[in-house]
Amino acid sequence: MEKFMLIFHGGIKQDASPQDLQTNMGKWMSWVEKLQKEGKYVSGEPLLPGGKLVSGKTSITDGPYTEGKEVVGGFFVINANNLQEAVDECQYYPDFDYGGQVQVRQVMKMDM
Amino acid sequence: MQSSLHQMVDHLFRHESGKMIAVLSKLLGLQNLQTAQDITQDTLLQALRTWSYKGLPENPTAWLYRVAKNKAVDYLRREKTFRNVRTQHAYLLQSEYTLNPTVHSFFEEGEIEDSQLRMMFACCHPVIPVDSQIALALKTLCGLSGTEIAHAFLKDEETIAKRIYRAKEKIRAENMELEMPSPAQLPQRLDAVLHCLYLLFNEGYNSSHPQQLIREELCEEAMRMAYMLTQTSFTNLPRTNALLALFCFQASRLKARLDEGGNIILLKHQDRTKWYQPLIKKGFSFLEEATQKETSIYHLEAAIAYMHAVASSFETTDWKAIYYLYGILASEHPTPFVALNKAIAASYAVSREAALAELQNIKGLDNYYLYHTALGEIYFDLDRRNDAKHYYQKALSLTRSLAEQQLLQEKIKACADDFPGFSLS
Repeated sequence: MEKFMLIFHGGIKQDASPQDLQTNMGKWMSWVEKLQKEGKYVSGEPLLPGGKLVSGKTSITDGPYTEGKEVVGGFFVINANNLQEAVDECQYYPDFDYGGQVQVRQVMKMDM
Repeated sequence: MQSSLHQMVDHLFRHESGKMIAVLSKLLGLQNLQTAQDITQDTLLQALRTWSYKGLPENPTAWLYRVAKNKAVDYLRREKTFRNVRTQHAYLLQSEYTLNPTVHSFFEEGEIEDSQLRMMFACCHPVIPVDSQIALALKTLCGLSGTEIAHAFLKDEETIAKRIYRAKEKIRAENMELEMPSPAQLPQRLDAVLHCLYLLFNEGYNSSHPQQLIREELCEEAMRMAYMLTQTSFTNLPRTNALLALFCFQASRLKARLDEGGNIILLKHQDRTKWYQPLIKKGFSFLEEATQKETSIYHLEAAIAYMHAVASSFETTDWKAIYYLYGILASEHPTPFVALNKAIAASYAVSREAALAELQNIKGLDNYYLYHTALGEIYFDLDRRNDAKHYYQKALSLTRSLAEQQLLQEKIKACADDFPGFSLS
């Protein structure tokens, strides 16, 4: 079993209606529940918008991205047998309808 | 996929959003309504981020209020924005000792309801145009977005945004605050609120919307707010109960009004076993509450709806009583819509000829499809098929509801069925 990181870019808008926010949240919760039930869920964290980009002791700027679909909204780490399986799992990502994207990356194993 | 959302109350976000906006507006003053809306939206976004990944907290509502409170405190501390607050309790927000407890106290149970009630009076303030009242109430009290309101009313978003903007302008210009009307003003102010709810329910019940879904929500919201009004002695007047009774009787038929294909089933053909009896019973108990001293137009309308609700079949409906009630309604509240319903009742209570005469006397409904439908019905029953067809076609050109269109098309077809091109007149 390999570990994969799903990195979520963009997604539901800040000004979405309360009902849309709730519906969207319901889909996220179902996805997490499903992953947990199948023993695939390792961890996940949402990220607050904003942040800083540090590119040297004296160079600290806002970013990397503070708005738009590049913004990383959060990530999951999941178990999957291979990249294809991890990609397949993304069909349950709820924010495609809002222009969101998922970056799928395999976590490198520190085998000795 | 099964969702843990099932554990959650329906429309939790929407309804809590309405509550938080009301509470925060009372805390920060109605002049800061936009800030109250922003803090509420931020709170919901934070819930979305956190709950999506970490699951539901034990008490979602308490979680939301805690976050909203913290955000409000942060807002008031930041750059001493308490200076923008001009409410009576503003001085309590200036000192660190009283800031937290004050914000906290606004989120206590009784206070939330009080805030919502005040918000209802503010949204339905007579200086705000009625269209704007409804839009503002849906936005601030029911947590619907501009897009959702636009959908529900088949208007573009810009129109709805303008209506809400106009309402907010009035609030600013009139220096309105979230106040309870004085006892002297109460009857008139309550009437404005009830009228707004009545229109909201009607829009849901007889809406021009091509789809069914959204309109039921409008009915639900109108009922929810009317119920809130009956839960406070201040606003629990007989007319409030009469209005809620009317809503219950009408809503009991919602499920029986459409078939599986979304086509409208007329009262005559409805399966009365599908009428939701618990709502009829509820309606009856509100009507009983309403029978003291005063009679409002809502009493009359509720009584008419009740006559329909208790009739075991269309044929055994007490049309004479209904016609009589419409007669009183027409003299107290002479509108072309009441006249139209009275005429329809006349066709069963008196005669088709009498109904036709009443219909022909009505002015001002030339663009209302139900008026032409009613004329079509009468002519059809009088076997004047060509005339019937003419009015059905006129009605067809005036309605945007798909279900209504389908029904009318069937009727037009029926006009040609038996005696094509032949009229007995």
